[in-house]
Amino acid sequence: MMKKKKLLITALSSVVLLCAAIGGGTYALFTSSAQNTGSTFASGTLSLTTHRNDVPVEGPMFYTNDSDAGRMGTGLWAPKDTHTRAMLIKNTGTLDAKLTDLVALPEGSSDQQAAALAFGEQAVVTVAALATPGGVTLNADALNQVNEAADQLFKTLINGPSFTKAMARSGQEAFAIAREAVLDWTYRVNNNGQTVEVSVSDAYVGSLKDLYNGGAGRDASLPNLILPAKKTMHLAYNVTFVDDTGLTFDNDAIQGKSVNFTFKNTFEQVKNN
Amino acid sequence: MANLKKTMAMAMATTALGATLIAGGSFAIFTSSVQNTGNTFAAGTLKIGLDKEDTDTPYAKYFNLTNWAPGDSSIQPVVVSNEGTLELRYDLALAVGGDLGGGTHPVTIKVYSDAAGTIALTATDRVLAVGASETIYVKVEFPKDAGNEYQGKSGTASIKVDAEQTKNN
Repeated sequence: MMKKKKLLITALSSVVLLCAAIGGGTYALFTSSAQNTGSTFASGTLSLTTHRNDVPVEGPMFYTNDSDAGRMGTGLWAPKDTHTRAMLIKNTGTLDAKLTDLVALPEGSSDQQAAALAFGEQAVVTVAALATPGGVTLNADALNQVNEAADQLFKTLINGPSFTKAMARSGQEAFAIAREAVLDWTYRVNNNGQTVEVSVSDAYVGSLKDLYNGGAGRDASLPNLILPAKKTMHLAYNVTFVDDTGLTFDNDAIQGKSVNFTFKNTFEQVKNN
Repeated sequence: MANLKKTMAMAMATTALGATLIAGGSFAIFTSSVQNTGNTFAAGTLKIGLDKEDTDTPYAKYFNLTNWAPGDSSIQPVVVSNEGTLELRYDLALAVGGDLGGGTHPVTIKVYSDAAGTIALTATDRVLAVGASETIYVKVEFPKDAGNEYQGKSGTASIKVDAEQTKNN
């Protein structure tokens, strides 16, 4: 009985709706509509690949001994040593990218990580983005020349009196001096028969331990570090083992220690960001 | 009344959801990262050694001279080695002490490159490659001019090497 009543009500309301539709129809004389179909929304991609400036291109930038895995071993480190290696990052995506985070992560067990950070306290790391006119890509020989020139610059800079004095006062002051020097730096290299003037578009200078920063790394306050789509960025990593003279740390404490780090770079889209 | 409570709860839940969305939204940007792992930094070691060191057990002395008279002398080989992994440069510091090492005619201590004690050796900035060692000859001499005031006395000699890295230095 109840069911029947419900059905009846439904039937009634359908009739009312039909009438309403007819009523509406009486006003539909001239009509027009325009439409646009098939709008597409395709998202861009942000993807990067990396390799080092070495043969083979895979593997860590810094390693101790020459082998088939690489011919650019640093040898054992002693205070005042400085080595520069390049990381090449290609933006294989379709969106421009900007470098937002730099981090150095100690590897291994907690003891190994502690040893790594002890070394990190005594090492100054500079991450410099190399710029060439028109974004010319340097060949391996030219990059090696640049790295060697950078080595020389750092050797004179970090072992020089102004950096040493500043370092004794405060690390931040010393790093600022070093960054200024690096940003002014230009070097001419022969690249495929052409002289190319390499400059530094932006740089981070700090202790290796600061670059770890408890795992948070450093916000790259490097506004110039934009990597356009399909372009390659040369990031030069220089590590210098600082002499302890006049400083609070002790070089001898890390004699014979071998430590490992991962260098990681995070990029974000430039657009709307 | 119950209804109102339900509505309020719903409203609150909705607000919470909205807040989550906003917070989540700030991370929603395209990112990509690259990394280079396994970078090794191995510090070398700087270690200099003598064939007879104070830290050796049992510990031996280069000289153990008794019943010495003026004019006596003794020459002993001393082997200096680089036991570390970095090239080093060392200075030799020789000293005499005690009663025989003082006064107007003290015992002298000198270093030579030959066992006969004829060729003097430069005792500073001596470079030793990794794993290398060299033998130097240290000579102590009780001067003939020493008088009776030195009778029955004793003295000491010490041989010390101080090394530093040659690299970047």
